[in-house]
Amino acid sequence: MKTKDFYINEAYNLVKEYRSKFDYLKIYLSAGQSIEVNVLNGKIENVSFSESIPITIVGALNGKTATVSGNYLSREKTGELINYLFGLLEIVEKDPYFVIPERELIGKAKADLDLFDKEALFADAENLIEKTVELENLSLSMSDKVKSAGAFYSVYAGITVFANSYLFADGFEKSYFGKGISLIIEDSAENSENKGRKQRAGWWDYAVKQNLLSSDNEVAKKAVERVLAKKGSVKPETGVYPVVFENVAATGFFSSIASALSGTRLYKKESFLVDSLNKKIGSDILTIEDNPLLKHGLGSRLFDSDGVKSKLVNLIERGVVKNYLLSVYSANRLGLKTTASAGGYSNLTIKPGEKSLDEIIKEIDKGILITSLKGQGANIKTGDYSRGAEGFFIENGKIAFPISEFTVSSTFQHMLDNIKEVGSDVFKSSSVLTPSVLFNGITVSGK
Amino acid sequence: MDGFEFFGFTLEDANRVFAEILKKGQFAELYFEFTERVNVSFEDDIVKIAKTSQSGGVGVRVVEGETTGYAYCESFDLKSIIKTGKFASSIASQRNTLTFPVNFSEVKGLSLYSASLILKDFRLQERVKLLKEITGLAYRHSDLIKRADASISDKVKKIFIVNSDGQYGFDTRPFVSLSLSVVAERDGKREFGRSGFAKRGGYELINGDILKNVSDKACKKAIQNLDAKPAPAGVMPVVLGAGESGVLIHESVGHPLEADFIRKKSSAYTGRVGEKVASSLCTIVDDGTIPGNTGSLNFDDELTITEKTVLIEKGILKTFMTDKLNAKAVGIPLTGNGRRESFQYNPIPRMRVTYMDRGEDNPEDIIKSVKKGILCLSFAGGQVDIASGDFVFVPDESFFIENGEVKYPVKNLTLIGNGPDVLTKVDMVGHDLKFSSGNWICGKGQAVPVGIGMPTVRIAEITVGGAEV
Repeated sequence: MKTKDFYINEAYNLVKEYRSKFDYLKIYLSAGQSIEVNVLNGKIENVSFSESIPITIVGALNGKTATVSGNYLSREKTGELINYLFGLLEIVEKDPYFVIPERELIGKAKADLDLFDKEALFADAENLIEKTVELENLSLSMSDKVKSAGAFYSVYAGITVFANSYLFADGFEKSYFGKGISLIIEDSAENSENKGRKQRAGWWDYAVKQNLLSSDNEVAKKAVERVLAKKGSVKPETGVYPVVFENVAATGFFSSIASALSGTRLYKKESFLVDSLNKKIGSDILTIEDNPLLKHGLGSRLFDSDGVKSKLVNLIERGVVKNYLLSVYSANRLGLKTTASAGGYSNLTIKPGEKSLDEIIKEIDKGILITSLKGQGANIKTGDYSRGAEGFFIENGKIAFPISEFTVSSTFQHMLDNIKEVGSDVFKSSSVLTPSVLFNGITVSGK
Repeated sequence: MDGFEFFGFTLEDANRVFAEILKKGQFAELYFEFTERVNVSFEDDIVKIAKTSQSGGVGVRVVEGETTGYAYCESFDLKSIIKTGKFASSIASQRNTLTFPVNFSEVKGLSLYSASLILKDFRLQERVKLLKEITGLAYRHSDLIKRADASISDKVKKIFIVNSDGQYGFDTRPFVSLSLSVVAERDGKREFGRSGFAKRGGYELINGDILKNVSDKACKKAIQNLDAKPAPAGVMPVVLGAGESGVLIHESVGHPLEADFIRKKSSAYTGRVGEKVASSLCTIVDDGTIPGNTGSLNFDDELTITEKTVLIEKGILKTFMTDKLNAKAVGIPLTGNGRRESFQYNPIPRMRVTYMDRGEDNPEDIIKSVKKGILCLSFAGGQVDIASGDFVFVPDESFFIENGEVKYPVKNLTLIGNGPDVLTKVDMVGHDLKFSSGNWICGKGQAVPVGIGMPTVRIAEITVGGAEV
């Protein structure tokens, strides 16, 4: 991988050379390199090195747009790709909503978000292997009941560059560090044919800088606790319960809400939140913003994929929709202004409450705590919600026993209206920053 | 142009790379890939999106025992490949380089599909015609259909694999998919229907019958769901329709029989070959040789010629699906299941076309046998936890059955079960084995196309996750 200035310069020269042939031309390039190591029982499973420079070019002519993409190899090769645009433009039809973004929208936010750790460029496989083996050993030393299902360490360094017909060309650097461990215990279930039943759980962390990662001790401890707690899980009784989504399990729910508020979904009417601007769609205690300018944020960025300067977006305030997530195009479709959200949310931030997860559980007489979800049953088009789950049964304000092989079913609308608590325990190793959330009146289907 | 010429690389070059990077006792493999894609989408009643992409490079893998070093470069020149190879071989414990040259012989794969590269010859107008035809069909299906968006994607992947065991081979893998999504609207209520078609081949495979079939399916789902009632919650019998219900097999028993989970001892089926793991009505097969099926391959991504692998025969566990590394480590035969998403990834055991073999029951009798339960005809997907065996699969077209009759459509449900448990509860299997023609992409860290198939079956009891208690 070459320097940020090199790629900015290449993108600049490309738009300069080809812009006269189009009404509008934009280039989005992201160069990245990474190393990932996987270790199992002290031995290396995998060491992977990657270096990739995907480039996407969008050209518009007479209200039509077309896209080409590939790997960035050289300016000449990219020029050949750009020439494919003309063949594509021949078949595309004129889109009455096509709009060239105004010059003043384009730019790079001036903010020092501290997103890049130079160490990422010099990551060394041997050193990472050593660290991964240490994490695995530490985890296994905490309990003689657990076995390893593998530990990993990964380091990524990347550069995002945007250039367009205005001869704007700029970029920013970003790095990620990640580590984690997955553990297994032997288990059995009564009245089951599943003779080889095991339980698997793990823990991990991601951060933009190496020194922001959780310690090995924190990661190992959490992984061991989580896997041991699953032993002997049973199906819960079918019924309607208060259900707490643990922070890590709540990320998917809020990510779906953000999708339901995205301009593209809304103009296509593929969202249960169509026409919700300035309307109350949820509980008073729900406030959500999308903050691309979060210091050290995993989803932080200085411009979106339209090249529009990033800024904070208030999405939901005390249950009322204040903004949608809009690109230049979807904003034009809806008669609104872009929120610099082309490419989706950045750091989706759910405003935390005062109570810890324990305090929330303490107030529940009989209910469910969900620690993980699976399946594609969250449908933001219709608002239907039904997913597979595992977690714990809550009795008299305490975790009573582990449960699995059940579903939670409701609708997004019911869930939004029935958020009774948001915790204080924000989960930070994700671009959805959410605390644990308590919903009332959710159907649980078990035995 | 032959394959060597296309990638500008010879077997002598391969020997030069191996001589530079390979240490004694290691296995090395170069995976050359060049892929072209064309996508045309019809939205808002206009041809709105046209995209092409070209990508390619060389993945270099070095294996020593159970350890893999992997690296790739996005160009085909010898210097870059050697540099990349040195990263991959940095895992070596041995420092002596291999000195003797490898003698190569070609692996000729099966002939399950054929294709040529696409960008030379766009023929975009032909695709536009198909898109206009299918969206027109959807609008004519019913006045309730208020929106119809469709898209066609073609992909051709050209590969060349050469390894230090002296094998090399070429393959050109085409893939076409058509998808249609419609919105049905009545009295302010909106419902959605999706359907698709995928095959190894080009867009020219898409004919009028396919367009009609895809359109009918998508429209029917959307319109039915306007009248659907909330699905019930609780344990009950479920009838799975022929074809798409193969998702059940893929999730519940497919993934846990992939040999990497066996080697790592994380699958519930570890060490259980020869044991009864399913009802004796269940014969489960993973087949890589069905012509044109999206999961079929002339050889896998490690040059192993694909085969039809019987995983479970009449309830008895027979074998696991392997790639080279895991077959060797576990000490079981190669099955041709070593697959990868692209040159950027390491091959791992993956399914091809997984299905339950036909039984003897009449499909109508299966529905008639249910007093109160659910019939599921098509699916949005599924997911499994390998260790516990718990899996979900998510229907998007379901009905309530009462006293042996299909009563009304129901929606918003997920089915959840435990793989080893559910397979013992299969108590009726139809004689109507059918393969899905949809576009099924399996994600196990890497996305690869797979096929699924199933006859009509009854599961005596499984947890139905609806909202109605």
